[in-house]
Amino acid sequence: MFPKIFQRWLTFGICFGLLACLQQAPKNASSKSPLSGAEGTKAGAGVLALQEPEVSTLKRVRPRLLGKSLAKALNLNPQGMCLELGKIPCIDLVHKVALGGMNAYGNSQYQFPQSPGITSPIAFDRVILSACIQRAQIDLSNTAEAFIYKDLKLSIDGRLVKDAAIDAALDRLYQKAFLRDPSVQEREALKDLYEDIYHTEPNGAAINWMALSCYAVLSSVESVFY
Amino acid sequence: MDPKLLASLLRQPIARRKLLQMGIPGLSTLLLQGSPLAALMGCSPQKNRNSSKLSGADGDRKFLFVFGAMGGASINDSFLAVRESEVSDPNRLNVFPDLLVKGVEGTDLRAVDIAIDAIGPLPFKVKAIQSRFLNKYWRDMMVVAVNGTTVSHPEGQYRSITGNGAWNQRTLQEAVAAAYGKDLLLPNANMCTVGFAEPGKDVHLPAYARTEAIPDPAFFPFGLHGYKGIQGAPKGSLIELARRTRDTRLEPESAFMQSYANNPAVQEWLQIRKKQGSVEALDLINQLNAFKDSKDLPFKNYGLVPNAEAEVLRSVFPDIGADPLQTQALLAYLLVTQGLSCSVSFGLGMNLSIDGSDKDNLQMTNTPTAFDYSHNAHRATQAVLWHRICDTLDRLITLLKATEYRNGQSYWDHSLIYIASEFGRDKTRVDGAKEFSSGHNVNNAVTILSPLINGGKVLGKVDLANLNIHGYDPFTGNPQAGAVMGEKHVYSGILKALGVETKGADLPSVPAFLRS
Repeated sequence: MFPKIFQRWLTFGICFGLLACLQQAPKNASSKSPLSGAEGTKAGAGVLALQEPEVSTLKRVRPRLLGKSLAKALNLNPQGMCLELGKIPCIDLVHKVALGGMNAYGNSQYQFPQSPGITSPIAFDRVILSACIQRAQIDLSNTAEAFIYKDLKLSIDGRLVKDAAIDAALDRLYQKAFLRDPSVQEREALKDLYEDIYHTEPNGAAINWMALSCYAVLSSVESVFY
Repeated sequence: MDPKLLASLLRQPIARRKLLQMGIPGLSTLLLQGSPLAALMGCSPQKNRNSSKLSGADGDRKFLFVFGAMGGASINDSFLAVRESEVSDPNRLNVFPDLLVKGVEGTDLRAVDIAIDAIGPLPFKVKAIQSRFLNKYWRDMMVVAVNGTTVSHPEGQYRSITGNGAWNQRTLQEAVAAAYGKDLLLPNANMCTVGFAEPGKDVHLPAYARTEAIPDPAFFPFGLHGYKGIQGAPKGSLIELARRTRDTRLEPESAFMQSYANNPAVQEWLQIRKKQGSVEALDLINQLNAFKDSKDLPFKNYGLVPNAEAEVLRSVFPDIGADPLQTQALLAYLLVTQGLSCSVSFGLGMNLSIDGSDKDNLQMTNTPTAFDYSHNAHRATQAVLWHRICDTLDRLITLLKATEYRNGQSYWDHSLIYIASEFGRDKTRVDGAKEFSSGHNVNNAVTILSPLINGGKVLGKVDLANLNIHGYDPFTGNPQAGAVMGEKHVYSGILKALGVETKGADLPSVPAFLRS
């Protein structure tokens, strides 16, 4: 349909465009999913490091964004995702300022904290761990309908049966959290985590791994900033 | 969530005489545990079980408590009050009937004991007694004249803690934390709001001395452990495995970290996260929790065990939870005596609070906008809040005196409380009105409490013609008509009293602060 010269120019243009996109990646880093870090890297491929722009656009995930993103990533009710003593909301109340939020009405605090405090990473951990435990419990109750840990099989003594469902679950976890697949190394690290958990505490190793693999991924720095 | 519901959840009423009801065996048990109760009963300070946490270098550590008296705490309505008979124009000036003003012989310190039927339009009775506090603490009390430089609330508050930028905009709290807090986990804890909570701007301040904001003392302990109290959480050893996987394998592997590892914000986050294990090891989620396990607050159901001495602490601060100021003051005590902080700030908030424990006699414990409600009802507002300050600080000092720091010395022996306020209030009224409104006035004096300062003294003097406070000779402390002393003199005096090295700061010398 097109003359050959145009086909060549078209091919060259596509290649040039792809190259330009790759070079543009750092500038687009701030426009990715709030809980995501790098742009998609396929499993098995080498990790594609981004080049940090001279003027950093990195921002800390604030409480409201954290709550919404986490609830969406794990398909949980944001109101019940993390409650201290089973009734006091973590994100909107207990840890709001530690998570980088402000409390204008309750505490006359009209600006976001300039920097994280000593309780910030701990509060972040509590929120993520609570949500991950919920997700693991729900998924384990019916793995066929699970949101993350779908079709995982357990042996009679409560161990995970090693099959493709594990890889699929980890892919799903990374896709929901960061809009990308895990690298081979990341997958292996999380599978090794299961072995470590099993050797330390065989009882309940499967559910503990489900909760803690989710926690290890979602409490990483990649979740803290966008 | 409904604030009323929360308040009710956190309200833990305790009978004030609970300890006495426990009888002798109960008291003996508590004494053996080394609780502060012994000193409350007139004995010497009890051994500090946390002294093992104190490093060898901290023998001379000092502790600063900044109380933010939000809104304009007028010294003319408290420790420098004037009697009607002392002035030529009592109907024009903010003076009190002679019988209401108490004093301590041999000092210029005063106190006002007053009862008022309402707080302006607010139908709450006021019974305010300052004299008890004065009689108890006058030896450790100094009132210092200060002429502020602004009538803006936030700016005035900020200047009251930076000495109006006396030392590179470094706050008093930061200066003390920098001097004494290097090996502490939480050197500079701040529960205040607005200008009293604002961090300084000194770029040379060590990172460890920066403010740790504590917006709600009741919730704060929950943020001190990553997994305790979370139902269904795997064992700690398993969580450590997950953290190790995250820290050593997932994060270094991710494209995000390879791109942003040197970003200052990421570095800062990682540095703070490194301390997480140390914080969790101290079990502060339980040690700083003074609430009682109950149906409404089922700590034990969640694997939490509140502080073993909490019952004694609640006997001193019986209204924690419901009363935000008592909750703050108790946390201030715990932060210092648990070996976590050397500077703790707390104070009045902007929100009103009401003590509803006696339904037939509701008490307003904080007026809307705190001291600034003096715009509507000066006399009652000042009375309510000065009474509240005296009452709260009395409880705090009682506990500090009761707890040993080291070598038989109490925490109080190493402490200083600075009642900071942004400015004073107008000195006049119309036609001798018993209630009136007042504006902001930069002329005022602040109160400092400590065994380390020249107690029983007033640096400055009230001018009986207009109730303005004169300045003073910084060396002798004698009043000097016409001398204007600024925020920087207070700043300098406090740091000197606390033994903070200020070389190169070019602060004014104020030896009159120091106990001779």
